[in-house]
Amino acid sequence: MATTTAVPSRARSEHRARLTPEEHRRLRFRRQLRRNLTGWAFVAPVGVFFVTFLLIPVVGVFWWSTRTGNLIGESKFVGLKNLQQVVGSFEAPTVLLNTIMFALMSVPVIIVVAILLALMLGRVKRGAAVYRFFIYFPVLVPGVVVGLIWTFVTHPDFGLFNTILRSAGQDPVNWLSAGTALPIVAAADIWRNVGYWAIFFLAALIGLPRELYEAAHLDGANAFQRFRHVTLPGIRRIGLLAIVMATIWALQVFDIILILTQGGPGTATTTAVYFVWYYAFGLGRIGISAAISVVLLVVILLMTVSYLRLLREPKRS
Amino acid sequence: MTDPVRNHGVSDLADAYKAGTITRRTFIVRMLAMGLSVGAAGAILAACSDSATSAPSASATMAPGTAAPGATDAGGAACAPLDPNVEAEMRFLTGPFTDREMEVQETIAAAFNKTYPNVKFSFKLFDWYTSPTDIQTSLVDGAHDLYYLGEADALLFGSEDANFLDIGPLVNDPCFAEEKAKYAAIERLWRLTPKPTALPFLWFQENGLFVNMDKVKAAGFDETFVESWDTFVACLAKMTDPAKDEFGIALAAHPWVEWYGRLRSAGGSYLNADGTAPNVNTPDVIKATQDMVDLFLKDKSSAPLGKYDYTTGQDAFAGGKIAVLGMDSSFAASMMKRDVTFEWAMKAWPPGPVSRATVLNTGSYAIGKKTPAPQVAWEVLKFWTSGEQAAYYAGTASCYPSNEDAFKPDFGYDELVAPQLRAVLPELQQYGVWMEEFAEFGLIANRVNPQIERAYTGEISAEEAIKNAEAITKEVMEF
Repeated sequence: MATTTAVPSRARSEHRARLTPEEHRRLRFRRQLRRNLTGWAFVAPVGVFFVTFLLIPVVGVFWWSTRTGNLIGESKFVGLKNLQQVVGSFEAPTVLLNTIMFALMSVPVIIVVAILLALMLGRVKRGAAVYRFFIYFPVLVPGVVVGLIWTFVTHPDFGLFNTILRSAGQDPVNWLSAGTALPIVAAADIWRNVGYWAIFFLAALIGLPRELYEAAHLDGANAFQRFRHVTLPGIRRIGLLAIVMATIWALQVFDIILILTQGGPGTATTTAVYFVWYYAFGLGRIGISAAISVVLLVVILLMTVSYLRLLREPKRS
Repeated sequence: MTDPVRNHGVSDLADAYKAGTITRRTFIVRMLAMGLSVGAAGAILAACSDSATSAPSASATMAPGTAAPGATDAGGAACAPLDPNVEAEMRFLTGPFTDREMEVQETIAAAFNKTYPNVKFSFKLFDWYTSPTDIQTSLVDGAHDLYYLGEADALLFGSEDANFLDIGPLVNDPCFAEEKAKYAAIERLWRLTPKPTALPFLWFQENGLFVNMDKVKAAGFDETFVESWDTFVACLAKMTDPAKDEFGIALAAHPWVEWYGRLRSAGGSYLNADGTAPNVNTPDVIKATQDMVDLFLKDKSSAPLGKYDYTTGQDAFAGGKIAVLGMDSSFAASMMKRDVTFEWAMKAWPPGPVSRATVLNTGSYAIGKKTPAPQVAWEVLKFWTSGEQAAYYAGTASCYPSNEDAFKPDFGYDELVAPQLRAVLPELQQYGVWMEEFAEFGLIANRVNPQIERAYTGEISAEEAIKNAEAITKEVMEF
């Protein structure tokens, strides 16, 4: 087939006119193919990573959830037995309750405090960047380091909290006891994540039209009314995203627990992902661990869909 | 030209060896005495082994990268010397007993390198908490040649034939008989696995009590306070001072071995004698557990669970805030380095409703089946677990060496180890109990522990905790 590039530009239109419909089709097909191949070539590296590090492991989790045995030696297909064992184990209700309690303690506080921080940051005229940095700083700290920081903060003898209590004449508290360990882990999670969402909310606040506030002011709305009827609807979409994402992250909390409490005392801080880790790495039971992961995946998917449905924009007539 | 006399001697020796009238060790010694090089002796030995499968200790001298040392029909190369110039890399996967673990291992490696300078060593330390997975993934990849196995790991992995080399033919080789007899509890270790896969290295007290004797004396008791549960409880109560935030006793965050000791002292065990049912839920076990719960909740002489973890508990004991600390014996190494001003001792837990019991643990080394240099690995294994090296390691780690040679004065074990460790030895010999010998032991113990902790924190009753422990045992064992 003659190549179009060989045709001088001045004669190109004339040359095109001489192409048969079949040649036109083939030419279009080749151009389309080249464009597609170029696109796929750009996407390929990400695709390889996606398949290797996400798709295959996820498929592997589903595969392992139906098998017994471990990485060495033979594994045996057991169908849904692992899932039944997970759901039927008497640790399951405790783990589920701990996970939900953790999310309930962590997510609402993160959202509320993040909005408050964003409102305050929005009003700062001088040195806003410095404040933003300090509020965002905990986000940059790895989870393991957060765990270590809070280990020192809650240390029974020379931790920050008990030092403050002692200096105020109060008795020291066992912060990581069965009753207080989960709230302490939630506090560490809030400390770590609130800055992230504060910056998100700040971005949303900055993007709100000033005219709306001026109009509300002229209409006699007070500060709370302006917040209730202008600010909140304006950041609704970011808020929705924040609730969904913060909840998913809360359900996946792991690193802080591993460092701070190792799931204890007893099962006081054993949450779902810690349970997954414990079965896989502490007990060497890959099948059960994978089955817990599958249950968690389904729960997160259902919760996400429910959230999205509940907080969906009402249809306008 | 060959020497006919010498040739004749070798021939006679070979005939005698093939006929089984001399041991392989004697065969090798005589060949070396006749002036043969190690390589030549090895080659003759290998040739003899090929044709003498019925010889009592015949073996093949294998080059690294060939079959396992014990894989020959006729037995292992237990005593065959290696070529001093042999080149290999030996990769260890082991657990840290002290913060000097790498330094201690490298010192032993340097001693080995005096004989075999071309053998390189590398050491990877696993976390005790995740050792099953670390060992498992390493075994899949063949990433290491020698593995330290605690008892629970030996039970867990030794049951899989594909994991470790069967060293039975080597250790049972007559030439190794004298050495084998020096390993304490080797037969028990081998009962943990279907085939002999490891050589014992050390043993220690899992649920020891570290006691501040100054506080005990100040409370009006002496070292016999642990000889009955009542005096133990009374002493702990007197040593507790809530106003000063000082406690009679504290346990580390995950005190599973402490409770396992109580279980055994109440005549219980995870499985009954024939392994067909749990032996957990008995009135005595509930009583023993309730006694422990009372320390936390009724007497309040124990620091609440979660207050101290493995590290902070040690600091609190050394700082005088805890009078008695439940901890494994390796803490003695740390205590030796600390500048404490009080007198301290190591003790076994007091008697339970049925008997007195303190839990012991054996550490061993095994050769990974995928090692590319099995013969070198065997030589390293022998060296590491030999009296001199075991004395050095166990001494620095505050454990007891499994090789009885280690107690020879020349090897300096007594100079390295805390005197308290030697002092408690008779108690351990009298009251020591080993973990039960079934593969799922660690799995059950790790799942039962949080349930017991729930009782210690008052979340559930002792009866409920024991009921849960029994349910876990049934679930894991599929009774």
